[in-house]
Amino acid sequence: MNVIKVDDEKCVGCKTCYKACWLDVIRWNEETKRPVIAYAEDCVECNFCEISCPTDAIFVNVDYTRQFPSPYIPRVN
Amino acid sequence: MATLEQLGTVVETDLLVVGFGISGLAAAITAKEENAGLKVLAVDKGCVGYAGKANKGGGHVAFIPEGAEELYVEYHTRNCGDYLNDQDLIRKYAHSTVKTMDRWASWGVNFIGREHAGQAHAVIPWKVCIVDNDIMIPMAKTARKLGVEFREKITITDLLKEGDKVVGAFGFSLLTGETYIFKAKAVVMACGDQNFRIMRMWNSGRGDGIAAAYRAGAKMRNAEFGSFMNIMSAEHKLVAYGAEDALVNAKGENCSERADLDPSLKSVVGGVDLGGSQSVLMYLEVRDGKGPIFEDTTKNGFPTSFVGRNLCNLTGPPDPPFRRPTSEKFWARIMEKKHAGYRNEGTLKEVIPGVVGEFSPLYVDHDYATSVTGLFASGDICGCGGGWAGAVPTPPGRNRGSGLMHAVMTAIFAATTAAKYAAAASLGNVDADQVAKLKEETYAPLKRMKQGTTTHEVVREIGEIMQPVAYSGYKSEERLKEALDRVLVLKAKLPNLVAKDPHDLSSANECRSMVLCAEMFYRTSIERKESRGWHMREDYKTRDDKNGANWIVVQDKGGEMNLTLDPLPMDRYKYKPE
Repeated sequence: MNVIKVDDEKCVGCKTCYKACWLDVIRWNEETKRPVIAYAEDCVECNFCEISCPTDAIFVNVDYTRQFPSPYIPRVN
Repeated sequence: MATLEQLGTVVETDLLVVGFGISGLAAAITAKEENAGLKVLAVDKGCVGYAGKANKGGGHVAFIPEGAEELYVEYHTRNCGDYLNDQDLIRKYAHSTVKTMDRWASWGVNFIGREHAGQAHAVIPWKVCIVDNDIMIPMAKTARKLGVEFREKITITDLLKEGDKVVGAFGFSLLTGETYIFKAKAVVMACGDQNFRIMRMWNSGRGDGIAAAYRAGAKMRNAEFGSFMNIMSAEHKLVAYGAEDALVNAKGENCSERADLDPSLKSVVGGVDLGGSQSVLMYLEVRDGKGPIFEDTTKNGFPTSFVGRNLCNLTGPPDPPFRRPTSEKFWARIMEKKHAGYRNEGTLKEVIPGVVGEFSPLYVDHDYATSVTGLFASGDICGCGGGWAGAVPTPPGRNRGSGLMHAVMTAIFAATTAAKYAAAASLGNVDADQVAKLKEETYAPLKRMKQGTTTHEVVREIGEIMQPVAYSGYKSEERLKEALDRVLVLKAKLPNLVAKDPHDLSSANECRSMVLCAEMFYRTSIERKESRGWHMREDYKTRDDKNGANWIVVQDKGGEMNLTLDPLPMDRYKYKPE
């Protein structure tokens, strides 16, 4: 699965990455004012968290090896 | 018996908009503009300004210039809709694109290149201009200024009814699991279509709205056309833009040429307008032992073309008139990750078809009212169900730029109708028994202690059922029945779904919705015994104008999926098959 890295030093706690994530992958810790990567398995690498972050504090490492369904011929389990 | 307040948080509004992606935002704004006194509430699983998929696309807006509407209607009917489109509604569409842009612009949206819009099609005067990918931020500001209220991180799983009338919706918080009961005079469904979670990026459409409307008794139509496919890299799994025109098989033979197509496909596929032919062609090559298929990157001229460079930002910053700060960042990041994902440096890159879906069968009339009183719809959820596009998935086909236009235009139609309806209606009674029953069913996956089926297992199997071109792209009776059998096996496992928290519980509801949509897709695909538009049958290779000029309508009848035929009024339509 994708690995989403947050640089706590660079993060300014603006919550934009939480808002930008449309798939509920990123949650927010109100005490520490930092994002929590809660459901990385649902990330589809749209990178909207990355491009929305004002300080480049978040990065999505894409897992290119994940399984994709059989494209042409049905795969029988 | 528990009261509503004991069952969850009760929220009252005049108009409830389910989903605040671009169509939901446009619907909420329109409703307030039509009637400032209406209380309008929009609910979504995401956050305001970022929900849905409109900001993750190309930002293309297609329009038909004044005076060219009828030319477009005729061309589309003959070449894209394959005579299955509602010719009255497509005429309304053609005459409304410019008006839609004018109203949309008043919501703070900047159209780039509108005055000198590029010619987007070889034959018809279809123009395309662009918007930046932060388009929903100014729209959200406009909505708030007008008094629209929002509730974030809530999924709506079912509609609430009093008799035959929709009187609200049931859902829960993704964050806390808390139950929400929304009482409303009218509901607009603007929560997207079904993408079956296969191709990344188009992943947000999970069909929860389609399933909720279906369970509420709403009619569905054109469900057999919801298997839109794109071409993607087998290595990094992102779209290989322009690859369709530069395909070679394992023997090095060109397989992009239409001349290579089976003559039966050439007769039913609208060439450049549909694009489904490439995925079928790739499948036939692989089936004949000539796979895998590659993109010859030296022959792909699309990324450096005017459209690729300026409208899609595929090769870095565009020419000055087309600058879009957010889009450039978005596309630059996609391209960086794409290049990082290639495992070989060669010019031949393996490509495969990828199902995007765009399954969107919720029926609406010409005013965007569904068949259920009090329920309206806009955007992707009713792309095929609306019937204007005909025998193609929503976008439609490969013609770019109609997705955003359709989302906003239909929101204006739906919200205008719904606002009038809500102004004359009163709040209905929500039955606590109905809510208690829904609550028990919806939360059941959280309560199952024994080992059950996980949501990830269902998602994986749905992919294996909906992706293979042999099932969903190039169809035959035998393969369709095999796929349907697999759907029904999966359906039988749904009562054993387990969920570990509210996020996963939302996934469980999405799984139910995906299985329902897959069943609808295969049942209607079996029923349509001809090839028409995007629906390509190996065993019925031509269009059957005598028996095929019907819309296949699907409706729940006592828990069974009931299919009926609704004949097109071809006698009074202007354009008839030749």
